[in-house]
Amino acid sequence: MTEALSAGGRARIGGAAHIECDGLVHIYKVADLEVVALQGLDLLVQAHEVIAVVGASGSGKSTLLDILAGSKTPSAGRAVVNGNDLTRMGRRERTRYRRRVVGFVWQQTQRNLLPYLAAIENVELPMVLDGRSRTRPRAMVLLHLVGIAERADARPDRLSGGEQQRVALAVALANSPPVILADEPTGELDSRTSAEIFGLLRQVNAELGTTIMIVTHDALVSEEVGRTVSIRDGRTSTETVHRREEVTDGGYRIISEEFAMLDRAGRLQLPRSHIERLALARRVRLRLEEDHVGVWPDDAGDDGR
Amino acid sequence: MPSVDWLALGLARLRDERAASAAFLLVVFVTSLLFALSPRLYERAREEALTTELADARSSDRGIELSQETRIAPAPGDAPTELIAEAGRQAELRLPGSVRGLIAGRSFIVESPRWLPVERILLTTVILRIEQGTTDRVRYVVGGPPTGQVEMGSGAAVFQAALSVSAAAALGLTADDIEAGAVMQLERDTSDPLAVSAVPIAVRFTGLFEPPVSLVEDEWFDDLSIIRPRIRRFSAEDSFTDVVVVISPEAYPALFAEAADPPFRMRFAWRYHIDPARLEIDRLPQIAADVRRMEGLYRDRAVGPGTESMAALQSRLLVLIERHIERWRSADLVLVTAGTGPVGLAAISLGSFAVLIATRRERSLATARARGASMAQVVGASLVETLVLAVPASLLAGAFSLWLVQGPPWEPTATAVALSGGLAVAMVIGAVAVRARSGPRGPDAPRSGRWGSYRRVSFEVAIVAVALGGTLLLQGRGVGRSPEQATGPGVDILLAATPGFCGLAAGLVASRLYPILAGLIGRVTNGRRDLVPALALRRASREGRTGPVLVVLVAAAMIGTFSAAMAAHLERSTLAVAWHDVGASHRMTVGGGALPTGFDVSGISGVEAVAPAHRADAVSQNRTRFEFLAIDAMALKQVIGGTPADAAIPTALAASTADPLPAIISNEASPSGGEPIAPGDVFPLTVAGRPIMFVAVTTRETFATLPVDGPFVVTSLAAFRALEPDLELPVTDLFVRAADSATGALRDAASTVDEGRLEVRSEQTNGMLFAPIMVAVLAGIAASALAAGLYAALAVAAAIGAAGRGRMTEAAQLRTLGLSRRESLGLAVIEHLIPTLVAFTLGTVGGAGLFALVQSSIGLQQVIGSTLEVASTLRWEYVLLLLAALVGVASGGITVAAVAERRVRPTTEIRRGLE
Repeated sequence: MTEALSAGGRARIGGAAHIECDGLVHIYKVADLEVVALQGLDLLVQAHEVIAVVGASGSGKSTLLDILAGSKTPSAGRAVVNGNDLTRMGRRERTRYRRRVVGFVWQQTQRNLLPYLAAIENVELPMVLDGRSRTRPRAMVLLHLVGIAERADARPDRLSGGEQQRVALAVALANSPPVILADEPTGELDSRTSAEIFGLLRQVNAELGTTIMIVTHDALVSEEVGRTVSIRDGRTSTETVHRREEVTDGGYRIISEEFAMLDRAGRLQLPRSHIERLALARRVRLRLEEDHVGVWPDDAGDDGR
Repeated sequence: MPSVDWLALGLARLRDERAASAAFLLVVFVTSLLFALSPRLYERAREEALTTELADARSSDRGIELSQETRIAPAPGDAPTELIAEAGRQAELRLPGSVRGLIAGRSFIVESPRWLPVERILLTTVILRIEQGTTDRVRYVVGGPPTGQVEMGSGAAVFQAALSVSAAAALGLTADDIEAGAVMQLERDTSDPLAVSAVPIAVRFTGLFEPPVSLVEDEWFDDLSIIRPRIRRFSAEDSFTDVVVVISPEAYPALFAEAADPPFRMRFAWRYHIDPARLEIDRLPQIAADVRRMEGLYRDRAVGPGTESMAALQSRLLVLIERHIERWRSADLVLVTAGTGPVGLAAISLGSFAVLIATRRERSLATARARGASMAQVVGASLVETLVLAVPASLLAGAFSLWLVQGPPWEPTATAVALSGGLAVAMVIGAVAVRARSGPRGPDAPRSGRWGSYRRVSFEVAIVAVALGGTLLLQGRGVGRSPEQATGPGVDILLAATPGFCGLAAGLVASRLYPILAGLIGRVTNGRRDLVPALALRRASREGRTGPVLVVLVAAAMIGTFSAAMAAHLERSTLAVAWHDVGASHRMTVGGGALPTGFDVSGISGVEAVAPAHRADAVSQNRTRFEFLAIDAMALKQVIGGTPADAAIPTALAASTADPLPAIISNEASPSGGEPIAPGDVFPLTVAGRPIMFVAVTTRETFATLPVDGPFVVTSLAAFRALEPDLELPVTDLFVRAADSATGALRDAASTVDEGRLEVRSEQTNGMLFAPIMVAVLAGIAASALAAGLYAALAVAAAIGAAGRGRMTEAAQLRTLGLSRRESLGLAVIEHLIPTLVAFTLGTVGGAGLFALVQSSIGLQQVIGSTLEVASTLRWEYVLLLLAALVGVASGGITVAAVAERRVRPTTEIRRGLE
């Protein structure tokens, strides 16, 4: 995690990160019930990075995506995307933000595309909303990029699921946003098509330098991204960094290293498996060693056993 | 292919939503058509009614007569009466322009002062008259018309004259006398101030004529003086007979110069015949104002040469016009009150369609917003699309209405078209804006609480408050505005909308309470094994989906019941008024007089019972005028027993002798000016010049044939005669109970009496029921009720359509659990049946109750033209019709829901529902 010191000497999370979430809280009401979707989430994404956000249902990952997409306003905390502070935006800035800073790809193909427009017209729509002219040439370029130029005149109901997601990606790229947010983009696709879509996302990242955040349940995603952030109970719990290592037979293997996240208050979320294994409950003992901090259950002796 | 633009986007969306677009277009077209057509039809009906009312009125009532007692010298040459005609033309020029435009014909008469036959005929005078067009209107049976030749005989000028058969009889002349050219010597009637300078003259009768078959042509101006001698009463018992004989216009110079020294004044009357077809509704207030001004103008202005006497204007045109305006103002009140409910339902229907359209666009709106569309772009795009549909539909409807009912008025049509189209567009844009504002995630926005948002609760509370307050104000103040305050139709629109607000308020309350009722019924059905009712009722009690449908059904039921009550009240009141005015199935009277002694119709086939009565004026100690009616109580009971005129006459009035006389007296009557008379009180009245003591047996609000809003006394004819045996109490009214088949014979019997009249209750009822105003009002009420039902059906269909996606998802989930299609249909039936029954019950009770509260305030009685109060009622046929309509609306909803659920593909809908 990168830290920078502000003028007052207090550590500020983020610094030069492309996406910066600092103590993000989001509370909403359903009937008479208040739901705390995010409970002080911290997250940094660097420019040109491709990360995946994983978590169980109800962990808050969709809420995080909505906030970063400008659809929801956080209840507390800070969210900055490409220098745009989402907590301080007015309605007009938010509209401009959705047009120019982020592109969104939903899981459901029906939400990505307007059913009564052809593929190329769907790609043109964000440009028309932004007031641009001569939208057709750029739309064709984007459809070429995603590999579906030959179906430019087809309406969504004539396209397969994979083709629709390709068009959806082209729509998301229409106004050259620096950030693409994808909510389960392969949720309705088979594994082969999913792989194609992930490949496309990597291609977009490589060719256009777009920062990409993918929310997913898909286990395969770890092979496709550089970092996987796990969210639990409205906070980031772990990060897994992936790197490819070539092996002797010319192939490669993915080396993943998991880190627990330490927030600004010094709080740490232990993996559930560790908690259950050691029967950790309510309070634990800590001991500072020379190069690490030990954590013991409450009933352990002075030597940690 | 060119780049996409906003118009292309909009048209693409409309193409994609063909069904919803077509439905919206149809609703806008129908709404605009109804709104545009209604005022046109109403104005057309009103115009025809005005023409009919005036055409049916007597020509002297609708015409204008200017009369003056003056001298007008004869014109030289061949047209001695030319100056008289010229005076009439000059007078016409001084009439207001709007009145001049109504005149289709002109005539004048000239009458000499009264003369007495030298050979006296008791209480009979002779008047010489010049009347235009007489020769063409009568048929000579002896001799021919007079000429202008004037002879000199026995020192007196002898004028030629012709007279009618009745006039000859009054003068004791026979046809042989006329044929022989009888001469009658006349001397001046000193009682006539005009005859001051008259010298004796004579008339030679040249012809005897009979009246034509019909005496109602406009040319007569209701003046039959030359046909029937005039009766001039100078006391209750005594009268003069003025016989009018016709002389030639060429005799005018001689009459002017030779019959008097110096020339005497004569009575001139200029008559202006009004053509009813020239009256236009939209100019009526202006014409009324001009006629009013005209009446003031001629009070102090002479119409002819000389100012010996003031010109008198006689016309009931203003009365007819004002009566028409007043009655149709009442019709305005009734129709606006009946119409605001359906207008409100039309708005709800349009709103439901707007919500349906916005719901169908929800996903597209969310996608567009997520892609960066601003609110202005989203709303702007929807505005263009909606205008593409609404504007042509409205304009087409307006053009169609102009084609269907041609001619003015133009303004209400244009206003209606603009309003309905504008309202439709505004509602769609509003619904779209609300949907778009909920953000890119659209419907995921959380609901705000068990009772809904504060805004919604406040809105509902406000509606209920407006309904309650409006009801109280309507009850107290009425729905009309005073003529001074009225700048439009004289209707307080907000108060007239009270029934609509009450319907809406009742619906909102019902939608709040319905879940409780459904839950209670659900608890009962829980104990049974049948899952369907339990599931349907649990769903109804826990989810708010029934709400919008229930609001519409309750509002429609209440408005429908209110309209039905209005129509039933009008019909019942018409019947009651006819029975009150006639008093029996038939009634015979004589214009201003009495039936001949011994006049009897009981022998006519079909006559079941006859009851004589004596009608007169009575005066109390404090000079209050009472309507006095002495009846044969036993006979009258036989005549009116079992009919709506049956008045439960006290047995005391059957007494043949009594002192004081037993009497039924009107409520609140106070002969002495103090406390109103109560039963048992004794009071005096002067009847036929005699002081009579009465004892009140009972008090009544009304009594048949007596004015509703004035004091009256009814007593025993036999007892009155016994008390005052020397007082002549002739029979003025003969109440008859007879079958309709006897009407012809009764009418013939009446015609044998001079000025005898027969009133037939059934004819009066039909005349009132089929009067143009009643037809217009009843048709308007029926049309309003029909429109209310139509819009309720549309609103329910739209509400079900808007809830369609959620319903289909739920149906899909239940189907995967094993619910059969039949059970699914059963769910839909129970879900709609119970709200229908609730709506019917609540609506019927609420509508009838509201009508009972406000019936006297909405101008119904003024439409009929009577202040007789009639209890409100509801015809069971209308109630059944209402139930059938509600069931029809609910069935439509069930059908829509069932068809939709039959097309459910469970997996598709469930996947959609999980999004």
